[in-house]
Amino acid sequence: MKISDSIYLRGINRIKSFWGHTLYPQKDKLWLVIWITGILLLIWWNAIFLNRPAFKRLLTGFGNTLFIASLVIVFTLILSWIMTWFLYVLRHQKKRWGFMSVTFVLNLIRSVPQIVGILFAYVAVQGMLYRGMISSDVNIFVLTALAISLFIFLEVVDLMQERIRYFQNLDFYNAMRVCGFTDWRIINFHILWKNSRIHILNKVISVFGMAVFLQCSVDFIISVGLSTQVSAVNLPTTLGSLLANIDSKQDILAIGYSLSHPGYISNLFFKHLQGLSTAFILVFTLLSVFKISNGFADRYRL
Amino acid sequence: MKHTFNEHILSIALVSVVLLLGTIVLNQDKKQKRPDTPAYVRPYLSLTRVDFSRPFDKALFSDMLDIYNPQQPAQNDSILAALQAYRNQTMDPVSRQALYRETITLPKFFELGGMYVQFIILYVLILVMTYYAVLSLGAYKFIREKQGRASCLYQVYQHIIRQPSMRTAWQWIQHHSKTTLLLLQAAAKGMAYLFLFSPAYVIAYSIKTRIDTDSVLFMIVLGVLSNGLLITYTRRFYTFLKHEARKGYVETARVKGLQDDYQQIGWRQIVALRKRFRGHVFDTIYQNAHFQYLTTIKEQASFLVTGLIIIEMALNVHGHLTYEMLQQLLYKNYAIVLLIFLGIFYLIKGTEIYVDWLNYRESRRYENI
Repeated sequence: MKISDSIYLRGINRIKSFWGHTLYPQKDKLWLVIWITGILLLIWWNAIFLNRPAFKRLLTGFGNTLFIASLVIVFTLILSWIMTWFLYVLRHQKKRWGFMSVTFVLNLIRSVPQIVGILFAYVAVQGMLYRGMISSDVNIFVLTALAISLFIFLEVVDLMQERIRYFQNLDFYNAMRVCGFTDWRIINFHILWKNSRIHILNKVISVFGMAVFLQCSVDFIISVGLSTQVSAVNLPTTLGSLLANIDSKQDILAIGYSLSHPGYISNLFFKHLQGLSTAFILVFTLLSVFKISNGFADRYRL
Repeated sequence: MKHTFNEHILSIALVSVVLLLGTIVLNQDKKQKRPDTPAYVRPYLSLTRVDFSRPFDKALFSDMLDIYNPQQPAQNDSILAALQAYRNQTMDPVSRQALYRETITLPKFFELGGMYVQFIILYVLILVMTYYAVLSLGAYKFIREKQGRASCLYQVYQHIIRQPSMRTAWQWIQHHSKTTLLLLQAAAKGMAYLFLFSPAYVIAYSIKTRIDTDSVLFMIVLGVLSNGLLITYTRRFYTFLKHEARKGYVETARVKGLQDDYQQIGWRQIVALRKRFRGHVFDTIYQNAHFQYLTTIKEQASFLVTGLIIIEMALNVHGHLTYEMLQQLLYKNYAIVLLIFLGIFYLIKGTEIYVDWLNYRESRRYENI
């Protein structure tokens, strides 16, 4: 039997027909498949080798993180659409002072480092939780997502305004107005929906990555900070707080140990799963989102 | 420019007034409450491993004092009594909270000032290094693509689908060793990507046992390489380069005789501090993309501050500005928090003003004003 007839090459041929002709040029879809496959493989591995309580915590943390990031997207879209429309109306009605005041406030928010703003908002949420003003997890998720969106939504506002300005300079805009279309329809349907939704979707993908990063970082900081001398109020588990957990920290420290003791590396995949899986999910998600966003931008030449 | 400058000044003035007023009000509110601890007891407060609720620890500590101060048994007893009183005080939640309360005094102000200067130095160093690295890596990526060199993963894919005839074992070994080599290369690149995307605290904790993670040098390296800062903004610059390369003037320049062979561009030109590609069409593409990138520096600076704050807070680096801010936030010393926040705000505003000025200068040059 010739070597080229081996099972190995037949397998490669299958991958070639799937990947080579459809998936590889569309890198966003390819990375989406890679991300989902990677996460599923990791969950499968953890289901076998990680103890039940830790496995449950990992799934809850990942689920909560995804849920908050999804809520951030929803709030960001709503906030940015309202703000864009509001700014358009102010500019269109030549209310110069109103427009300048709103822009001034937006620029002020822009000058606040996102992490500081979100940290303050988290402390406020903790205060509310401590006083019993909020109790259910969903309320906490909504408030934290809102806090994150407040410091992210400006990127989407900038994009929407840029798109509106671009189309306003074209004949298209004046022609539609002459034809009797209302501003509401031109801006919201023809410009933002029909001609900019790909751009907005690309931005939304980046917002998702940003939301995961900021949320995990703040959760990590809060969990590490509060665990020192001040009594903590327990927020729902996320990847960030799970990473700040003492067991996870020990697991991650084991990476450093295995660098000088290579024989220990195999233990990382069995004994230190909680921390390593949490860190891997976080980093792999950030990388995949970045790649998906780039692939999407390349595919549509944005 | 005048309008932009006025807006910056107005926002600085407004935020300064609001935050300073808040600081003064909160500072007044907090004076009085810190309980007094005798000066001779303070050095022993940092002994966190000694648990004074355990008789064994207490006896051990007493013996230790007797060994170090054999001539002063009375003072030793009073130290022990004061530590016991301090412990009782810290057990009560209200007193415990009061224990960490601080106000802005002159020494505290100078202490914060020192931290602020250190923060600014770190920030400027990381910003400059990131800026240089973004321009170099973005240009490298663009040139590499123009040179027709495929990515590692694509090379693996191409190598696999080529399916050369492998009649002998030697050919089989050659083919598979090359595949393995390319796969290893791709894996190394993947690891590098994972490293660049890791939040600072993941990297720091991974190598905490091997490296002194509290050193300033490590913080600078982490600031440049972690949190996805470098890779995100490299991609942004690369996108600007690609957009510029699609424009009509590039074709015109080529027709007019400018060089367009990317194989001619050497790595020395790419890594140079002041990048010039004279006589090559890429010179114009690079200059125009660079001009567009200037406004992005504001965003990059804000993200850099976020990264720096994450590094300092997450690593629990004592004596650094934002770690101090986190601690004071948790101890509810809001006056100090507002003061630190004001400092960070000034830093970002300063960067924004500088970038706007740079942008204005460059646009005047472009418009031949």
